[in-house]
Amino acid sequence: MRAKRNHHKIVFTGPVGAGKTTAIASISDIEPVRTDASASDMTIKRKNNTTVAMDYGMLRLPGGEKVMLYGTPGQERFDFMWEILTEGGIGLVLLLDNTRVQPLQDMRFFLDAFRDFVARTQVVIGITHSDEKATPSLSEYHSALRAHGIERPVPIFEADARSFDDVSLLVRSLLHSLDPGLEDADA
Amino acid sequence: MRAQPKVEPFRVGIARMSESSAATVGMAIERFARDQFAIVSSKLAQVLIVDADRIIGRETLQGLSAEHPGIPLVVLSSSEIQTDNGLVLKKPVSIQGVLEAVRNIRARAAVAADPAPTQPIDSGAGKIEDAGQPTPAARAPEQARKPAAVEHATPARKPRISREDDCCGDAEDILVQGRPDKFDRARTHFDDRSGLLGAFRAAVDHGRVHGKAVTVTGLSDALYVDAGTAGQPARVITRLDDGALRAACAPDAGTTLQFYTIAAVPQSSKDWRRIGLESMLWNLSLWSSQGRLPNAIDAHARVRLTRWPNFTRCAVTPQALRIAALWVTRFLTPIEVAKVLGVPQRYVLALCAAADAAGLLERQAIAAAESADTLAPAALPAAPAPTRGLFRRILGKLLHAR
Ligand SMILES: Nc1nc2c(ncn2[C@@H]2O[C@H](COP(=O)(O)OP(=O)(O)OP(=O)(O)O)[C@@H](O)[C@H]2O)c(=O)[nH]1
Ligand SMILES: [Mg+2]
Repeated sequence: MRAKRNHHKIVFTGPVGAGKTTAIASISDIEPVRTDASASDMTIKRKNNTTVAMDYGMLRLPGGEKVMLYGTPGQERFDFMWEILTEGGIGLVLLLDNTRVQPLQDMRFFLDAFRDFVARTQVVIGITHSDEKATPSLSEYHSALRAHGIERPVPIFEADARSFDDVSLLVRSLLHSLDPGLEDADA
Repeated sequence: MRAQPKVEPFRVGIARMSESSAATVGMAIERFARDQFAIVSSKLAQVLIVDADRIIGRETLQGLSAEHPGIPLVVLSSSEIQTDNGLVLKKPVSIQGVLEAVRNIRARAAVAADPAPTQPIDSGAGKIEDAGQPTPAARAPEQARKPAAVEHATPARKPRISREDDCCGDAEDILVQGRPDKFDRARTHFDDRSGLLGAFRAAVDHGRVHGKAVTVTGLSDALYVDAGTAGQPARVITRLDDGALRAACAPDAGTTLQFYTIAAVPQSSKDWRRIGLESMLWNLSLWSSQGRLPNAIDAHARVRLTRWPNFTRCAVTPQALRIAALWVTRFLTPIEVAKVLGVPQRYVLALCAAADAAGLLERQAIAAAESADTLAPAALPAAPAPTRGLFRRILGKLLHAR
C-alpha cells in the first residue's frame, strides 16, 4: 500500500521511556502532538475503553511535502494497531533503553512485532540511556540480531533521544541503508 | 636581541569553524604567537579565519565577506576555491600554515598602511619566523615561503559544501583498479603503529595484559584508559577535546609519548569526558590517516565492514554513511568502493583506516578472494530507486535544519 502523495511517514517505536516522544521532538518542525482515541482516526479503542495515545511530529520539506514522524505508544499490548501505523511507511526507528532489565529481549519483541514492516523496509536501532548504563554493548546487540535470524546489516548506534544530531543520524542512516546509491545531499 | 617597540597584537577572528577546530587554532596562537595575535570576536577582527566547508545552505563566502567589509580572510577549504579578499589554504592545513597566512595578511595590512616601511615587520619575541619580506602589495604570493599552501587571490567561486569536517586529506585519486601500486606509498599509506595512534594502541594492549588502568603521558593534558569491568567496558578518560587529540595525531605534532600502568584512574577525573575505545581508535586512526590506508592494508584486497560503526560517537567523514551502507553488505576493495559510489578515494581510504583500527574490518578469505577475483563488483542498481528524490529531500532537510 502506498502513502498518500506528499505524505510520508517514519515510525518510531520502542519500550516505555525509551525516548520516542523526545526523539520525535528533537527533529520535528512542529511541537509533537499526542493524540487520543477521540481525536484521531489513527487511534483505536479497546473494549475495556483504554485510550491508546500516540505521538506525532513532522518534517516539512520544500514544496509542501511532509514526512510524518509517528511514535507508537509504549504499552506493548497495543501491538495490533502497529500494522496500520506502518502502511506506506519509509522505515522503522527502534529505540531501546539500555537501563531496562532486558534490552536485548525488548529488541526481539519489537522486531517481531514489526516483522513484516521491517522485511519490506529497513530498521535502524538507537540505544538510548547508554550514558547511564554502558552494557549491553553494540557488539552484543549486533550478535543478538544475528542470533535472532536477521542477517541483513542493521545500523545500531548509541543515541541520546535529546540530541538532534543523534536522531538525525539515525534517520539519515535509515535512508542510506534503504538506498546505498543515495548521494549525501551536500555532495 | 635588539629591543623592539611593543606592537599591538593583530586581532584575529574565527568564523564558521567547528568548536574543536576553533579551539585548536586558539591553542596554537596561544602557544606559538601569543604576543603577535589575539583572538577576538569577528566584529573586532582585523583578519578572519574561515572554514569554507562549513559555509552551508544559502550562505556564501562573498556574503560572509560582505558582513565584514574590508576585513581580509584566511579561508580553509577542502576544495579548490578562490577569494579576492585574502588567502585560501587547501586542507589539510598545518597550524603553522595558518599562522603563516595570518602573518602574511598582517604584513600586507602593514604595507597598505605604510607603503614604504622602514622597520621590519614585528616578528614577536624572536622565536617565530617572520612573515617573509613585506614588499608593496603587488607582490605575487608565489613568492611566499610556502607557495603550495598559499594561493593567489583571484575572484571568488562558490565553495563546494560539506557539512562534516573533512579529515580525509586532499590527495587526488591515484590508485588504479587491478594494477599493482606503482606510485609512492607515502601518498597512499601511513604507519599506524607510530604516533599517537600507535602509542595509544600499545597502551591499551599493555593495560589489558596487566588488567590495569594505564595513562599516556606527553600530551598537553592527562589521558587515562580504565581497565573496565564486566558491566563497564574499558573507556578513555581525558580532559583533551577532539581538537587537541586531532592536533596530536599530526605527523609533525612533535610529542614524545609514554605510557605506564596505574593502580586506578584518579578520582579527580570523575567529571572528565569519557570516550568508548572503539570511538577513540576510530578517531585517532582517521586523524592520522589523512585519507591514506594503514600499511598493512592492500588497496587491491577485498574487505568489508563487520557491522555499522557507532557513527553518533565517532567522527563522520564526508560520504561515510553511504560508504558504510555499501561496505557492510559485501566484500569490496577500497578502490572498488570509491568507483561504485563515485566518491573520492581518500574518503574511502580514511574510513577504511578508521574501521581497521576500531576492529570493524574483515578481510575476505583467500580462497573466496581468488574465485571472485575476476568478477566485477556487483554495482548498484542502474536505475535509482523511485524513492531517491524524496530521500534526498529528507537528507537535505536534516543536514540543513540546525
Ligand atoms: N540520560 C538520558 N536520558 C534520555 C536519553 N534519551 C531520552 N532520555 C530521557 O528519557 C525520558 C523518557 O523519554 P520519552 O521520550 O518520554 O520516552 P517515550 O519512549 O516517549 O516513553 P513512552 O511514551 O512512555 O513510551 C525523557 O526524560 C528523556 O529526556 C538518553 O540517551 N540519556
Ligand atoms: Mg512518549
